[in-house]
Amino acid sequence: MACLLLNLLFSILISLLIFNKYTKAKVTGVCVNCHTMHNSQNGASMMFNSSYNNATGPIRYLLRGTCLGCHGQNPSGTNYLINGIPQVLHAGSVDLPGGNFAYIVGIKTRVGSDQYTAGHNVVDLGVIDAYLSSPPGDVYSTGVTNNNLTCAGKFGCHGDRTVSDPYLAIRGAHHTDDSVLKFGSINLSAQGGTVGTSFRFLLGVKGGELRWDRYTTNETHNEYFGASSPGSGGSATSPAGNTISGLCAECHGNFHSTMGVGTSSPWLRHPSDRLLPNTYEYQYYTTYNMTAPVARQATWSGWSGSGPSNTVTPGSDVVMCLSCHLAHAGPYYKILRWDYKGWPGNGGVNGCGICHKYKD
Amino acid sequence: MAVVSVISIRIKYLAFIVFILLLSIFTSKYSESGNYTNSQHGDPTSGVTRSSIDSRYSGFSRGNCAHCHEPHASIGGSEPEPNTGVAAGPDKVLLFSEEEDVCLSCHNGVIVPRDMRTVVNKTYRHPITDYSGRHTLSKNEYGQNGAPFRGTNRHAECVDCHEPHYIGKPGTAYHSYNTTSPANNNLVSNLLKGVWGVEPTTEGTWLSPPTTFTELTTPGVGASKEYQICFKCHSYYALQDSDGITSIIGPSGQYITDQSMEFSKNLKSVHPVRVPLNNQTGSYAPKALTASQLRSPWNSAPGSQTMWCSDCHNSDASSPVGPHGSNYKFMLNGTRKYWPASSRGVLFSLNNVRNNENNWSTELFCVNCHILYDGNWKNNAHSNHDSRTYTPDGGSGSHPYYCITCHSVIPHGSPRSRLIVYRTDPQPYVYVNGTVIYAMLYGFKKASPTSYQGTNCYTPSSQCYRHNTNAGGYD
Repeated sequence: MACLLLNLLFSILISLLIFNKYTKAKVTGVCVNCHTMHNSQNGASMMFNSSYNNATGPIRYLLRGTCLGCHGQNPSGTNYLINGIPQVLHAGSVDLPGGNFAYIVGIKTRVGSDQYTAGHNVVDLGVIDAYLSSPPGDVYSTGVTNNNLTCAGKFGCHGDRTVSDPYLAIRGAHHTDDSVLKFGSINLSAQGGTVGTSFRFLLGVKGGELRWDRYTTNETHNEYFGASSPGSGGSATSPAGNTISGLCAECHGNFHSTMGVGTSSPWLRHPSDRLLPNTYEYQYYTTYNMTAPVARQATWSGWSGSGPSNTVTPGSDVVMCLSCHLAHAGPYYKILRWDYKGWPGNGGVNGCGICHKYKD
Repeated sequence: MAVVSVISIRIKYLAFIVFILLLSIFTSKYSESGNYTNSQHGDPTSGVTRSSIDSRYSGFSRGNCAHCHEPHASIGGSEPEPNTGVAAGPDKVLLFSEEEDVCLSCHNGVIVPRDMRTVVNKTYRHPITDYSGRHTLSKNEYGQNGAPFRGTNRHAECVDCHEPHYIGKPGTAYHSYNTTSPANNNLVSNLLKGVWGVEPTTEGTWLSPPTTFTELTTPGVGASKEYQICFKCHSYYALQDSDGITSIIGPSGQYITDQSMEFSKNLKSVHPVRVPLNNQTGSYAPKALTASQLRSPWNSAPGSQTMWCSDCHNSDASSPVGPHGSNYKFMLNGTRKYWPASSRGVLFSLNNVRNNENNWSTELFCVNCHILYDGNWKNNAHSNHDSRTYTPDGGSGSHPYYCITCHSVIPHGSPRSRLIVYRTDPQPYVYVNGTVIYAMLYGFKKASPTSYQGTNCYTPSSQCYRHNTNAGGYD
């Protein structure tokens, strides 16, 4: 019996070690990891001791931190996960797929950008964007400004954007069974109906979640959902086509609309939610490249597979906003995935050349 | 011993694998990358920059895509400069403006010293400023059998002749005679690198131009010879005219004709824009002129050299070079820019040369390359007619023998040797003024320059009594 228990314990330990880095949005574990009944333990505050918590407590829903309080618990630390909580703001080398807000506040070194061009300057960081007072291309008049941009809700990206209060906008998502987003059990039709069943709690967005860290190989990455056209139905609070680019378009709609971008080549602006052509220079992009990832259509067979694919299929796969940009922040100008501004003088990567092979 | 042998084989095998790997790295580097960064625009030191137009680009590397392209037509929440006039709003291919305005925003004599904006607005020009909305995308314009250059689509924009991502750097092979390989003088210059072109799949004959073409569209390679770029518009590929003489009147007042027909290898005489004259299959000996009839550098390899179209058609400015625009008809190149008449409108004649009249030595275009007379004629057919006169068909009075009495008005190529024109040839090859037809010949056969006899030419006209006999065997 003792041996059996020991084996069970060992198995659990190994499972935690192996799978901890893999994404699992439905929170498990003891409540105290996130909540506090009285914000007091032996007379001391239970608030996360983050300089970006922006609250001494108590916080609604008995939380121990704000968004950044929980997801940026230790800005000077090096862990991208703390107690299974993904860290969007830390000093470590491993960023999340969306990047790292540490580049905005200067904890991590910027390359070719400044504190206003390295990322989305959510007000929680205390670095108000000095260049942009509203989102470029904001055709839906979201009301988002440099003084109210935050993580969730009407003025953020995550949660229900019809709800102003970020806590209400995200409420319940952390406790939702999100297995429909996980490889092996992905169910596209069951995604996007609630915040909890939406890719990265981005309401309405579909996709396939694999891991929290920004992937380091072509095979281990999340899969983004895209479409062959921007479609209709997009609004300030609803992503057209349930795509990740549709989510971006809620604030930057002009860069996603047929009016702002065009309907075919020659485009007026860079297209997103358009198929990577299987002709000309584009046909040679066939191996997934982390510098310019593609999204997958609903018809992609990989959704029913056990994991993501390192194959790109021109003519089927999709160019998206995140093919060029990160979502949170990065070292490079305009949240781009490579040092666009410095090329070719920097002798570095030409991200454009990944799709535009002949322009390298 | 056997062990040594196995090791030796394995070392050779390993060396072979390493060789293949290195070869593949080398070839992949040069076949798939570096085209743009090796170009003038993509050079990180001297390449394109928009920083003097919009200071927000000062932090961008020279050669960066953003100096021409605006992925969102927005930077810092507003459209970058230039953003007025045709540059206002997002533009095709994510460019900051439309068509030639993109190029001319920099190539205006201020940002880039070579002032293209002035040149392309001269009287005789490629019509890049005349049309808008006709050019789509270079890569979309092939595969359509020339339709994008035809009819109401007919156009010429900068990128029809220049590939901005592959364009080479000014300097050597910019526009200079290739003394090492004179047969390669028709290869594209650095400034035309990467532009797609067309090559006839068959050789045409006179008044029957080639009708099928191979599109030379390999990215980074494109056309290898200059004329292949010109043929996109100046051949059946675009013109679709069955006899090669269109009803389109060009800016110089002449009918547009088919240059793929005029430079056919089947013709008896051409200027060698496609192959050296020794390889001109339709010609017969002596194929080339003698060195003494040509000026430098063309006297170095007669018969073995080729030339560019732009050796004859070019801007009248010393910079920028290229057939962009000129205030001289046909954009004729060189210090002498008039043909077939002088600046006074008087047709050049043999008498003019002999008597040093009509500004022939400073204006007659042909003399840029051909030595006609240096106190002595270089051709006895010329010397025999430099004081004679005739009356053109339908005309009156005495006329000297004009150049165009015997030679084609369009001296590209002819079904007769030495660019001879017959009285029976159609306009615009034969010179006609009203109802007066100036050509006289009905027959011609080539001889060496100083051995022409009366029977080398034939005409039934009683005025030319030395040439009244039809000896046969004419071109």
